[in-house]
Amino acid sequence: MNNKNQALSRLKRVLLQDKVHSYEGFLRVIKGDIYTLMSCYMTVKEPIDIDFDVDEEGDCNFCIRVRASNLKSPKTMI
Amino acid sequence: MARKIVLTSGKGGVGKTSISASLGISLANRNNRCLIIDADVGLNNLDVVMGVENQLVYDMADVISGKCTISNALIQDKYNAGLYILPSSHAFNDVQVSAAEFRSLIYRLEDSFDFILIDCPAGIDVGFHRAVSGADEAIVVTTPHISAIRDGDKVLSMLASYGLNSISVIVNRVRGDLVLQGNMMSAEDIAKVLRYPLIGVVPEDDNLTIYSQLGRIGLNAHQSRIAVDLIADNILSGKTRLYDPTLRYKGLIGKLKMWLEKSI
Ligand SMILES: Nc1ncnc2c1ncn2[C@@H]1O[C@H](COP(=O)(O)OP(=O)(O)OP(=O)(O)O)[C@@H](O)[C@H]1O
Ligand SMILES: [Mg+2]
Repeated sequence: MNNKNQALSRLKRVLLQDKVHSYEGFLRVIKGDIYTLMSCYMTVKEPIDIDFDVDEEGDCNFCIRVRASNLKSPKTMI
Repeated sequence: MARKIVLTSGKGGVGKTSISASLGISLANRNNRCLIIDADVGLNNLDVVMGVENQLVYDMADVISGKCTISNALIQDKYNAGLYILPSSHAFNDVQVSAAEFRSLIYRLEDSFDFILIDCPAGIDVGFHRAVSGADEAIVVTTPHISAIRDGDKVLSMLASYGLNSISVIVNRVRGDLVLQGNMMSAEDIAKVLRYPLIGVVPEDDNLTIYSQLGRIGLNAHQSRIAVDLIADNILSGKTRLYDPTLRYKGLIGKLKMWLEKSI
């Protein structure tokens, strides 16, 4: 990535951080909520990996990676 | 009735005053009656950039407090009969000019001009609010530096609540050679991130500094002059023709120029 592109992605991140106040804190809260939600359906094995970027329309594209085991069948959940 | 355009930025020193002065000159050169108001109360600079500091007797605060008439305070440009400057006070306490007083001063002036340009102070406090409340259009000036763009972004989100007719962006001090080398974000990249239309691109231009310190900002046909003329055309026509700062570094001669500038 050339310097211009690095500056651009840094700029996007800085602006995003300003909007969500604390980028790291924002991700931590979301991760916690996703963990709680997904744990209802499976055993989440590793720390949830989450990242997001802003596209040209200003929409956020989230990329969430979760490793899990022991998927619960809907039957056992009822 | 005048179109009232505020030039603002958030961050200081990005070129609001230089561009307000140059744009006022360009608009007046196109046969528009134009007034530039220095809304940087207490930290006035427009008079120096325009080279009229020795004509300053009364200022905006004197008009508001009733010490003089509006026409006493307006300074006509030396070179262009259609261009006027309303200086701000260097001594007046900032908070003493309220947004309402500023707005009513502009109402009294708007029938006499085609354009009123408001040179906003840096920051996002009372001075920003006062300047913006007198306008119906805003141009946010930024440079290609992250700190300036970041402040510009904050200002843009604040402007959204003012009910303005239009909000656009000027990217100032763009280095065409650095953009071509992939070392600087282009104005188009920046506008895309900010998600507001680009109305102008102004190159880094030593002549702007040289002639503004001499108070002769409008007298020379340098690169930034060409860029600001295009902005004036865009404001008048609603079209968007932008200065390309990379152009002079393209082709064989351009590459040679870039190499020479780099090696000096
Ligand atoms: N395109 C440019 N190329 C080179 N120098 C520039 C350019 N634009 C502005 N400058 C220089 O940058 C300095 C700051 O410009 P200016 O006073 O217009 O900024 P400002 O945004 O009005 O600052 P403030 O926030 O303090 O009011 C000046 O010395 C000016 O000559
Ligand atoms: Mg200024």
